[in-house]
Amino acid sequence: MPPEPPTSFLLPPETDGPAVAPLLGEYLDVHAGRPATFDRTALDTADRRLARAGLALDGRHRSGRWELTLHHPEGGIDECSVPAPADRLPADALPDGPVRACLAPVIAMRALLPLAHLRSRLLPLYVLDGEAKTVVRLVAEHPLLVRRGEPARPLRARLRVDAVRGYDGAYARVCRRLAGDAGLEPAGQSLLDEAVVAAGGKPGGLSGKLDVALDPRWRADRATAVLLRRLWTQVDEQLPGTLADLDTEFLHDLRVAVRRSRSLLKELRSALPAQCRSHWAVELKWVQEVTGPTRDVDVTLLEWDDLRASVAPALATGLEPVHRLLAGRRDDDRKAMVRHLRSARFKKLAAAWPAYLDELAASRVPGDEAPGPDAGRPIVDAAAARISTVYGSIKRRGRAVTDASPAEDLHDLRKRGKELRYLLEHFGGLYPAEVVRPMVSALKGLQNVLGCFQDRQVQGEYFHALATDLAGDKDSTATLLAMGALVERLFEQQAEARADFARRFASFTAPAVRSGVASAFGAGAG
Amino acid sequence: MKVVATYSIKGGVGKTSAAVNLGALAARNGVRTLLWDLDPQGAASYLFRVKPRVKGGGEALVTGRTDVLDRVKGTDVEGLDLLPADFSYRNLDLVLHDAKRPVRRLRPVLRPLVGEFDLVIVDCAPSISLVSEGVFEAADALLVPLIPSTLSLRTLAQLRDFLAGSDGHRPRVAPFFSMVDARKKLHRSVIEEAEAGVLTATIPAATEVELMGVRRSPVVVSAPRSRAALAYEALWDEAARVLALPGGG
Repeated sequence: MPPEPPTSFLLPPETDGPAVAPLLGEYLDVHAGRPATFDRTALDTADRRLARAGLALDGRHRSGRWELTLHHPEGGIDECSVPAPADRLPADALPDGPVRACLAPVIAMRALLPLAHLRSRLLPLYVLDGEAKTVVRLVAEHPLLVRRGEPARPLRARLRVDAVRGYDGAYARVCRRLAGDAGLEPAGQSLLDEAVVAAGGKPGGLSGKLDVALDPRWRADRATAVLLRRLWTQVDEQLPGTLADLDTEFLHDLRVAVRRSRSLLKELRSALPAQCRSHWAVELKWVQEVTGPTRDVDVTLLEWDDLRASVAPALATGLEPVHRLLAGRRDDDRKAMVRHLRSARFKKLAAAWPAYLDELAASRVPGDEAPGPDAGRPIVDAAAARISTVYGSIKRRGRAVTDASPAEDLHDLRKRGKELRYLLEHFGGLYPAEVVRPMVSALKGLQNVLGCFQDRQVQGEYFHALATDLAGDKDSTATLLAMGALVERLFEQQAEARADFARRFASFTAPAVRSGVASAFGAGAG
Repeated sequence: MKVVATYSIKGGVGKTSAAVNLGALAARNGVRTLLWDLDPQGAASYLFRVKPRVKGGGEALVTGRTDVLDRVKGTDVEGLDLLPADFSYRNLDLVLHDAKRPVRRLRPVLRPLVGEFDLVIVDCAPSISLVSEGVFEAADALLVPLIPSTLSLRTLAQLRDFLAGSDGHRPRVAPFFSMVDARKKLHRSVIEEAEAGVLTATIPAATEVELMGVRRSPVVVSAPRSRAALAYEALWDEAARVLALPGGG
């Protein structure tokens, strides 16, 4: 089958509104409709969940409210309105109805953010058949990016082709003619992406993916520095949303980038100058520590509905004071975190660390430091050695776990699992996918169980400590009863996770995985 | 999905005009609307410039041999699609006659449209037949245009009697006065003495409505500020409210 023709095109830069119909008229029998001007704000989550789901959301100010229009992939729309201003819209700020029903599962804990304000001049055009019936609709759009305090900036004019039901043949013909005879350039990038880039943002939204193509022959210190530099860029990208508290995931993603950086510094320490461990690792650990308390409360609040549902309905209302307490605690923790992230220490780190990494990535050891002993080793060998060692370590430690083992043994195992996961995420592309993929899959299964085990324990202890704080309050009986039930349920879930450990561990150390690891990463893993 | 039929035993009373204009108004209100031109004359299809042809004809539709969604055509009114007429619909009675449970054969035709459309408007041919009975079985409501005359009221009474005697599904009947000439005393007096249950919105006998055949477009699109267009808007508002149609207040 021939490839599908494109359905959205860029118009030549010099084509202003009135020139569109004559331009297309050379190739199609088009009739122009009435032009209109259309203002809207494009909304999406920071990581562009709507775009990935094929959805688009526009907001328009009207009478002190925001009128939202949700465009579905198949062409339908749903509408709702929310009070203005709306600089961030979590799902629960949307009114009940089809817009919320569609968006809530897509955006989950993320907030919808205004990404770009656009003013477009739209010219509808119609392709008619012999009966003067519209068989294809076209819309020529001349968009402007509108930013407060700046002159409006023109974006590339576009032509969208919309099918009319039952006239598929005409639609395909028009698309082919526009791409072929008219020679229009297909619009590879969406208008929103173009607007976001023009506004200084990132196309496709923020992402935790590293997107770094490593050359297996690169020196280990250079490859590691390139990865660390990219991770710090992610920290940088997530920082404004974290400070503004746009949603919980900015902080989460910031912390993941820091954690991955620390893991790299640890695992590839022999390839890096000593200062990486003695200074930078300490600074990154500090970032992780000062952001931890806020994230801990976030996790509990994000899981709140599930936690509440896990106790008997008669007791659940007793948890409300706990929720209030946690919300208040989050405010305090966040204020402290923001102070740290705006401190001179953080600013110094944010300026000096990427500069240090840039030097290292350029194969220059900053200052007069000595390179690490494995600095010159090809990264493909250095990383394989680490993956092999960590896999072997997990295998040994896991085998030693029995029903009588203390919880700490499982926590340590989880930490090692995370190290391995990050190694595979950072360097997996250097090795055969048929080895890496099953290894990652088995590791995920194991980590889920270990994660559940540890999270439930931490939460159980957290609520236990809260209960101690609340015990002195008057009228706390119902709350303490509810918390008792909740802690009991959390420990039950922890026990269930532990019971699943042996099965998951067996998959992770299955002969097929072991032999794959041994062949790809070295004999020590087998 | 709601199903409403514009129906009358009599011809030339404004069924098609009502169907196309209400369809266009529903679509303008964001209601995903399908108009089924079930009249073999194909007037609604003609107005929307769509060829009055359905592959396989009416028989393929009622026997389920064709996917109804594949036969739907978009109109020039965004949000309003059309299931065109086909000349073979004139034989639909015979097809139904040979089928088991003939009056229940039209409802399944509409089933695949659930989820795609919020409202289906069926523009019926003027008759009382097996096809009409199939429409009564499938429809939530019948919009019945009445020219303000004694004979029209008599056909309304006949319809009510028929439905009352039927042991099948009974759609709600919503009559309205159509082609009203306010200069005629008879029209005025018939409207004044109308039974309860007749919608209060009335459609005037207007040149703009007649010109639809020339302009090949609903009057609410081609002459949206005309008296006739405003009358159809009032009819849509009232019918949507009274019949609890999607998009109604």
